[in-house]
Amino acid sequence: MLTPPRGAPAGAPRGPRAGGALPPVLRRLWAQPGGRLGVCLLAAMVVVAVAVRADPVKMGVGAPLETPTWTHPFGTDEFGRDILARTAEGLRISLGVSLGAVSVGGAVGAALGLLAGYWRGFADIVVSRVGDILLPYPPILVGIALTAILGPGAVGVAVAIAVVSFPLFLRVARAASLVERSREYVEAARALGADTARILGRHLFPNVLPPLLTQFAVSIAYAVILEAGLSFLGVGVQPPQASLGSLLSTARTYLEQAPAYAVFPGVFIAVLLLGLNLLSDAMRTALDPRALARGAR
Amino acid sequence: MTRWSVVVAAAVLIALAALAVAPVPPRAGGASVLRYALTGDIFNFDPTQLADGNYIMINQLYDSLIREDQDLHPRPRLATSWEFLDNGLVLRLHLRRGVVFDSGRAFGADDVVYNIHRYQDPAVGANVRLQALSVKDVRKVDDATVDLVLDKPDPAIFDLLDFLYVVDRDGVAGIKTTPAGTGPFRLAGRVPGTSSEFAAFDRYWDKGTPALDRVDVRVVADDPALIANLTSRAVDVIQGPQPIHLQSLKQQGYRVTVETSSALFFDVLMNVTRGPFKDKRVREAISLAIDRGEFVRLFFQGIGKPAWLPAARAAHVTYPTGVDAARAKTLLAQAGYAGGFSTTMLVPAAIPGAPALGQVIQSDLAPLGVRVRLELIDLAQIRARWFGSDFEMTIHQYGRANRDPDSLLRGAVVFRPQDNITRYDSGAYAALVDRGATTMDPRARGAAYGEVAKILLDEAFTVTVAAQPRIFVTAPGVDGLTTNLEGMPILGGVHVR
Amino acid sequence: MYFASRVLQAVPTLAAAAVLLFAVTHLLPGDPALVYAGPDATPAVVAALRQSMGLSAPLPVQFVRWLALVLRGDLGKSVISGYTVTGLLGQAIGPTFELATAALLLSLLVGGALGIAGAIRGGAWLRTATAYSSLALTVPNFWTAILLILVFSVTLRWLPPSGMASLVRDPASALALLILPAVTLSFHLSGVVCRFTQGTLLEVLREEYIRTARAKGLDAARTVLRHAMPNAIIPLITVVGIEFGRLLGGVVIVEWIFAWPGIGHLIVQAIGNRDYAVIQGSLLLLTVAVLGVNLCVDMLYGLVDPRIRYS
Repeated sequence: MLTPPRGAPAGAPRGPRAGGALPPVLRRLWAQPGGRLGVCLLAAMVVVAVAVRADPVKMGVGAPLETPTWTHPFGTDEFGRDILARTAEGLRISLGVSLGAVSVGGAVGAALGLLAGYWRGFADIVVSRVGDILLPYPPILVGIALTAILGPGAVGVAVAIAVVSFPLFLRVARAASLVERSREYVEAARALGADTARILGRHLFPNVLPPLLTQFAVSIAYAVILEAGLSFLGVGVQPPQASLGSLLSTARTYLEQAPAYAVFPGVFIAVLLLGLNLLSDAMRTALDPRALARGAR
Repeated sequence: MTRWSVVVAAAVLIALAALAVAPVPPRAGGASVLRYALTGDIFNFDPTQLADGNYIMINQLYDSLIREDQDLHPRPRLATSWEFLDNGLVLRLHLRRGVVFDSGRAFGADDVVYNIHRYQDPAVGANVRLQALSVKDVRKVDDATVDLVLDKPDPAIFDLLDFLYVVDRDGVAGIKTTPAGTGPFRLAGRVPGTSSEFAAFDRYWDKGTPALDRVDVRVVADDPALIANLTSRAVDVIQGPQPIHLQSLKQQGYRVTVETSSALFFDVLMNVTRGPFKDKRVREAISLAIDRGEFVRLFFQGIGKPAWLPAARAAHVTYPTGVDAARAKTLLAQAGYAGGFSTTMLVPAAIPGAPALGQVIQSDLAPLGVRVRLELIDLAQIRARWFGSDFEMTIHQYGRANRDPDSLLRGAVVFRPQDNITRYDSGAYAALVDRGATTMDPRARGAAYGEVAKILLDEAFTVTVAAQPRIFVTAPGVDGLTTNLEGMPILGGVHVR
Repeated sequence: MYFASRVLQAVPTLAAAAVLLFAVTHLLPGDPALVYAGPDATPAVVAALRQSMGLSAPLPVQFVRWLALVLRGDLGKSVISGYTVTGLLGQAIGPTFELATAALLLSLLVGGALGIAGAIRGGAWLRTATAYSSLALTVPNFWTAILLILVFSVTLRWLPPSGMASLVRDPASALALLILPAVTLSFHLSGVVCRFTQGTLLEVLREEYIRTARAKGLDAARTVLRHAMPNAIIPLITVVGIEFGRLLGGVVIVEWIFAWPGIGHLIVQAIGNRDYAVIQGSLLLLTVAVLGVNLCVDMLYGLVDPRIRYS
């Protein structure tokens, strides 16, 4: 007996989605070579971040600026601290700060965008202008100003990331909301007497989710770069904590004496970002509305 | 595709040609030019501003009244001779003749009067204003003679005159952007943030100086760029490279000049009104726990020197011999902090070495249970916190430490008895500093300053850590680079082969 | 009325931006008097300096004074260096423009060439182009800068590591100094251009009319250039336009690393010195420029697509 594929039946227009939509999406993600590679790279970075537990701040575990050896696979820094341990800590901080900040900024932005798209009119104009106000300013400048005001450190960087991510999510959610609000299922729900909260939560939100998820992956990548950039300039995480950006900044002085110092943290940033970019590309394809409508597997 | 290939090939050829032609900027035929690189730009052209960035221009574009040598003896510059009158209350200066400003106007006594008043004006913000205030009145005796009237005999008066760079009052209005001095060079070109050009002043009073025709000052981004500019022969002199590079540079044949007259020191301040730091045993414990030698080794590669006090050894004072973690622990326990405590330390991010020192201190204090959190902040912010005494611990840097002790003790924010930013306030200390300031008898002064040294070690509100050298590296063929007592480069005597 | 309303909407946005950037500037802890005063200043000196810099008036008064000057075209002077803000900006725009233009051209050339080659030739070319764009899109620009300096300045000694020279007076030096920062800045955008050209061309190549042309015997290159590219250009411009904003963001770090005396470098230095007039003037210029461009684009859309005008 042929059972219809899960999700929307083939050929039908998009409609309200029941709970079981995720697995086919994940399958589609994995089916792409880019998606596979992206997930693997990210997993590798997470494993390193979680598994390497050597003390990143203990000075003198080796001689200063040693070349890579078996005990210190990435060598040591100017204080004799293990660079692998510091790189792993940098990864933890990059991931932690980025995930947290983008989640907060994204949630607020998405909520506002959703409402703005749904209500339209004056509320929409105000919200859109608020979202646009940060448009002219490069994120790095916003970060420099905010960390100068709030004080340097992970918190200031997180606020900067949240502030800079917020308009992107607002725009995506608003655009999607504008499209969805005029669909038949929403009108039907309204006709049946559902209140706004129910419409937004139950009907609009699940259909707005796919582009938001893609935006999430993209924003995490931007966040990692912004955090690294601010730490590179010295206004991010403070010593003795290590960020991938601050490691790169310090390493420049020792390029001649210890090139490994600059190379490894840079490689880690690149791999992390590569994984995120591959993943977001794959997600964009996997969550492509046309593919979803076709019920493609 | 053929057309494409041609276009691509042409582009590649052009690029290669540019590369081949480009690198080292050519020297103007025959002219003697010194190319000088540093990491901070000139602040502005007002010599009352002793910002680090201004050091490169001050002795080139301006002259001071005298110049102190290593033994603090004044040597003639714009003033050729002097005598004390009236029991030391009047210093009569005889001024050099034949000195002209850039504009061509002759220098005279009126200019000295004008400049001393200018240094005293709070709105000008001269860094040595406090020292300038000890001159109660300035009187012109004749065109080449000036009397400085002091309110009391001032043993440190020549420190002031060493910093008194004379500005042409006709050029004061635009002084920030356009220098107006009597120095061996004049400003010939300026791109803010990037470069400045000094050209020899042909009417300079010291014939034969300068030996150079031109100085090209270039601002580079950071330390690695400094080294790269030198090794690629794009410049002849670099100022302030980090000590880690010196070994390798020496091996490559560059001359490393280290100015070690100890004008500049790293210090750690503790706010005596905050928490555990109210107890001087805690402060002393922290001072004992800091491994100065380790810091000098790690950051200065052994070139700087560990220090406990700004001055050379004072008589009858017992100096600590080095790190003493055991005694530090005992002191902490005595003060009631056997389990340690948590605190925050401000670190001036812009001072090279300060972040490194912060981490060394963090690491040294951890075994005592003292958990230090670092806050690296920029200059404007940290000054606001320092001046408001809004800190528990902070890393700091004081300068002008190799002068008469009076200049340092009454001038520096971390040593002065009144309005000390650590909030240290002691009548005994104030009296001793005053004693040293008001008598000219060397023995009495020595005794007073010996007692001051004991207090500094005992009360530990300003803990000196290490002397910082000023480092210059020159390419072969460059001779004659010297500095004044402050470490400011003097280029008048430089030759380039 | 569409056009009028867009312009009118811009005014409150600009006003709000002016208030915002004034507020943010003054929220920065510390002030220029502290920077200027020197390490051993007494409170009297700091107060006198504040007075002479106009900082002792209440903030709203300072804002109105500043706004009044701005509306007269006077952006004020740097309290630190004494130069006029307009002078400093005028001097800094040139280098930033030069750098951004060089980076743009380079990214179009390299990214475009790779994208086209990949789409047309396929196989190894396609893989190279894809790998290149993946790399270009992920590596942060400060790492690219470090690597380039390490290879071309420190090791090979082919190029100077930092600084800038005038194209007019010393073109050889200027070009040599321009290469590393321009390459660094262009890297990311070249990845975008490559990705985009490749993707668009691949899609177009699959289209019916192209296949017809191929079937008729036209070779791939001619087909692409004659039929596919014109359709791809407009969307390419849109994408580049969007990414150009990101390019300007990258300018800040690149100018800093290479001591390139452009606007990014100016702003970062001014923030460190709390040089209020310079910070506010530069940010205002930035805001006006971006809002102006947005306005023009909106106007253009309105002209081109009547539906937008009447929506």
